[in-house]
Amino acid sequence: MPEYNSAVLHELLDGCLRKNRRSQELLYKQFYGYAMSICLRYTRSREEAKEILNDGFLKVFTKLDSFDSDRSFKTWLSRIMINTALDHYRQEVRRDVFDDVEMAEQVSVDETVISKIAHEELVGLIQKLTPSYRIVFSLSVIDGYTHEEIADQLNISVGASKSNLSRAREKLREMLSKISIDNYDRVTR
Amino acid sequence: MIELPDDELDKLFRKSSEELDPQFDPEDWNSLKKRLDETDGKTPAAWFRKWWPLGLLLLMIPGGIASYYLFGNEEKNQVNEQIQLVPGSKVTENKSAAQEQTNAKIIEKIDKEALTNAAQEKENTEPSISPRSEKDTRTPESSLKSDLKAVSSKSSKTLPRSLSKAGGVYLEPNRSKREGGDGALSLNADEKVHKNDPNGTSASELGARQAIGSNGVTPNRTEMGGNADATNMSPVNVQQNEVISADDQLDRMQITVSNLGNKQINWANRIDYPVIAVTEAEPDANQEKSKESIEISNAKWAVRFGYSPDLSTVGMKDFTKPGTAVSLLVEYSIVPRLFVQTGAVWSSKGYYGDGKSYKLPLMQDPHYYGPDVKSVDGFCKVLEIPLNLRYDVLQIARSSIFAGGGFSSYHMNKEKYKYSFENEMDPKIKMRSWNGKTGWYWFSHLNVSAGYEYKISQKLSLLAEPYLRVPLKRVGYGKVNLFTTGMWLSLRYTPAFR
Repeated sequence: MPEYNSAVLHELLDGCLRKNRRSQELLYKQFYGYAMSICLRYTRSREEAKEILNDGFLKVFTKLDSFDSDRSFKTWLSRIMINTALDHYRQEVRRDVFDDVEMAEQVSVDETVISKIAHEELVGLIQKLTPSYRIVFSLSVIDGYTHEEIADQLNISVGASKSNLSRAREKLREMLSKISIDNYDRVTR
Repeated sequence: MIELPDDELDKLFRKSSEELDPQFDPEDWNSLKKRLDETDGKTPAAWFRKWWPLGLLLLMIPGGIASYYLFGNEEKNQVNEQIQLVPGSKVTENKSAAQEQTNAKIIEKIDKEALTNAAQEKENTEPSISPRSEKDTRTPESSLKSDLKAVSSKSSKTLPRSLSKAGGVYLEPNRSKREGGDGALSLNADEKVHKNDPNGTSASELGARQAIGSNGVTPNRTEMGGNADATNMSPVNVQQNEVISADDQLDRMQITVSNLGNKQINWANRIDYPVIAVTEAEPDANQEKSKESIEISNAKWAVRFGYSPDLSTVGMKDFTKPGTAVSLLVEYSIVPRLFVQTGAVWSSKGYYGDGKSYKLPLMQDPHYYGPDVKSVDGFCKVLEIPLNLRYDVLQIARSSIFAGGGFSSYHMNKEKYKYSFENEMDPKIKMRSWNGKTGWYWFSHLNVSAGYEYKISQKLSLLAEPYLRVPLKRVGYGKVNLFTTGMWLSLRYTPAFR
């Protein structure tokens, strides 16, 4: 996504501060893709991601006066989206919602096949992880949080965070292998 | 199983996550917009949740004032009635026909009460004295007979004069010794019972009232055969106080004050008192007030100050955040119920419309090669001069329902237009906004309204008036058909000119 012109962004943010619906719509459209990509990797479906996205944007529009305009809006936005996703995750943990993923067959596949897998499919694999694996993997690998920070955020031990990350990787490898085999079969057929 | 090292695996997923760019779904925005509308109080339910305390307060203020005036006036009326009972007071000198009738009614009412009180008097003479507040369940007829029996009975026990009336004990000072009384000056039966009048009417006062007569007009003193005061205060003829039957006494007791007023009485030893000239009563506060109310009811001028939320829109859709409007209007009644109305209205209007709703000079320029304006956010401050007619469709006591219509002229001040384009990054975009003012647009709008007026006092009233401004011509830099709606909450003042 191209970096948004700072003058236009400032004007949009001004409009949003005045609760101008048109400015809000434009800002939403402008950062929809960026924010949605964050939400998708913290959730198991697009519907769930949309819920977090709108929760996050509602916070953006209602708390915009607390945004420091000298800092990056994208960083602030991503932080809000991640926090909203974590809130959502905590609620899920309380409801004890977990599901397991089938073990993939242990097959060795050529890496060129992997490179042909679309981004959506790869993010889809993250979505298939159990919530605790998914959250730790996203926070650690994609958003660059340390295990200490993750442990603090999720109220778990550092060891549990490391263990979840390790298992998440294992699961992803399994799923990746399965996809690769399917794709390989499709190509060779 | 794929043998990817951790860092390779991480890189793969990191890259995919960063490069993923999900397509915008308008449905997602619509659902967020609904939530924002609710948060900002733009939906009816949210608006109600946000403003109901203020609405309740606005209803309570006129309600409280109305109840104050309603019940306050009732108490005042009661006090006035009591004042009218006092003979010789200035109020009773009022010779208006209506008041004469009222006086006659009041006197007859007192006569009836007197009969009832006579019955109560009997109870006072009983050894076991019941409190005065105790409810008497007897009929006036039965109680009167029993009272008369008590009066004629020699064994009736009369309390000494020195005892106080407090505690429900009532003296019988106006009965001759032959009747069983203490030989004091006696008035007739009606006067006697009036001693117990809760209004505190004294015997002398009653005498004066009798002099007024049933129709409230003071009878000719020569017809009365002497001075009215002398009539009332003269000693009782002993021969008339002979022991008589209960039925005769009942007939006598049923002679009302009004009847006595028309009788000529001949006195043996008449004392001629000088005739007192009754002077015209000075105008009292009530009369002043009634005069003033007549003046107000006939008042032709009124001033009103109003506030309204201003909901402006292009084509009655896409309402934005409401602006505000205040008004100062003068009304003149040209015929009863019909007013002509003018003044000034100051408003701030925000509106939004797609590019086609506007006739922007930018887009009209044949040398413009930039992208089409997708939508425009407009804002302006308007001075409006309305010229309306108001007709009171229904007038009930303190309330009236009215309808109005007319024309408005707009003076467009501080106009701001902000353009939105399909691609905000398009380098061909030359102009993104316009600020300025375009001045007068005479008779640019048609006004329609209807409302409810509630009088909180003689001079002040509250009004609620929903209205609509329909464009007759395009206004402003954007040449836009600007609809406006809202509801005036006004305070109307009716000065009384003398």
